[in-house]
Amino acid sequence: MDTPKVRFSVSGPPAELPTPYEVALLRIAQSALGNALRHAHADRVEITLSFMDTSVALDVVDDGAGFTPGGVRPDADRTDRDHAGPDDAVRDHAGRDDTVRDHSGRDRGREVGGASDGGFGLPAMRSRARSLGGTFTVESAPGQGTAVAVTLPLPVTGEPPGKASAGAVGPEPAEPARDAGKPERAEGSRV
Amino acid sequence: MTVRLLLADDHPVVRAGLRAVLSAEPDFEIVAEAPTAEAAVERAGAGGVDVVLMDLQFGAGMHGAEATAVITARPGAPRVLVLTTYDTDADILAAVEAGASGYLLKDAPPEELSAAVRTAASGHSALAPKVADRLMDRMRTPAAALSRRELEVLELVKDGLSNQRISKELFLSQATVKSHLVHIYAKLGVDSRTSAVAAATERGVIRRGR
Repeated sequence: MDTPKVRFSVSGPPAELPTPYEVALLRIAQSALGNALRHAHADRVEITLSFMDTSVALDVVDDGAGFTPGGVRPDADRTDRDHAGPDDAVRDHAGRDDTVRDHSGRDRGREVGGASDGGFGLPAMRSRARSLGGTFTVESAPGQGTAVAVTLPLPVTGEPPGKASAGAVGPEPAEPARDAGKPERAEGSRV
Repeated sequence: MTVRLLLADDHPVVRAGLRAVLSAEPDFEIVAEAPTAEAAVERAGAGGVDVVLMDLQFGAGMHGAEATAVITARPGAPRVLVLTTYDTDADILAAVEAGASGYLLKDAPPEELSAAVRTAASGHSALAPKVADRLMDRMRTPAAALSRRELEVLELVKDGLSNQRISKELFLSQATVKSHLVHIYAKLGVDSRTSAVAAATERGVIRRGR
């Protein structure tokens, strides 16, 4: 297997983070990147650290085999996404389903999911995110790559209280009907 | 000291016009022209160039900002001056982030262009007054200024992409795409994709149309 191209980028003005945040982000990045390298058969993996006004997000996204998040741990408060929506053009971005599936180990969700590693270490990543009041999402489907994202609210540093949480709890943007495949937030711990 | 110039623009008439204007300056020498961004990257890498005048839009090929990033990433690279008709935040930020030494508009008077080339050649920055205005506005009201990433997301929204498509395009989770949209809406004071695009084009933040 060829090694995928891995790229790291930062967007937004970097803010200094408390050590527990840095540790959580590092561990989640290591874990998610490890999954992408071991299981995804991806061509490309992008790690993005996004500094927003009131939060910091870490995304680890690959264009590999993907999996069914539901197959990993049926009892987990997961987020997964349904690709049966009408937005067929999406497939063109991730490669045709069947070509990817040929070498994808499509059933590994079931094989590995029940194994003692707890399903790609996702529960551990989730609990790290939660312990800092953040959210954790996994977006994947067979043949569609995988996106793992953690968003942590930035600790408030003397900002006016009304403004401080605007980014984290602001209104959800309205989306057109064709976005029916968007992931649902299963986390209730957004602060 | 002679300033050696590379003119990169896909329109032959524009290149001819630039050549006519700039070769009238005794201290300028036009050493090459490039009709594509790819050709500009190649020629700039071959050496013997001090300043590249770079268009942004080259038909279907590589974008001028992309070429600027490749050129300026090399050691001993020439300075790149962007020369374009576009003056939106999205275009300006992309070029500056790519490492451009300056950003000029094609309606600039010839003497302004020559002065900017000398400024860039001496290692300083050169901005068209209108471009400087936009950057200063962003600094005066940073809370309302869209970040480079937010501009990228908004341009894809303008192109009609769903969050799912945007996430594939930018290698971001849909969760993070959505967070960016929340911030975009707040900064523009809007509550829908359509009104976000309308407000941003109205204010010259992103280009109008396609």
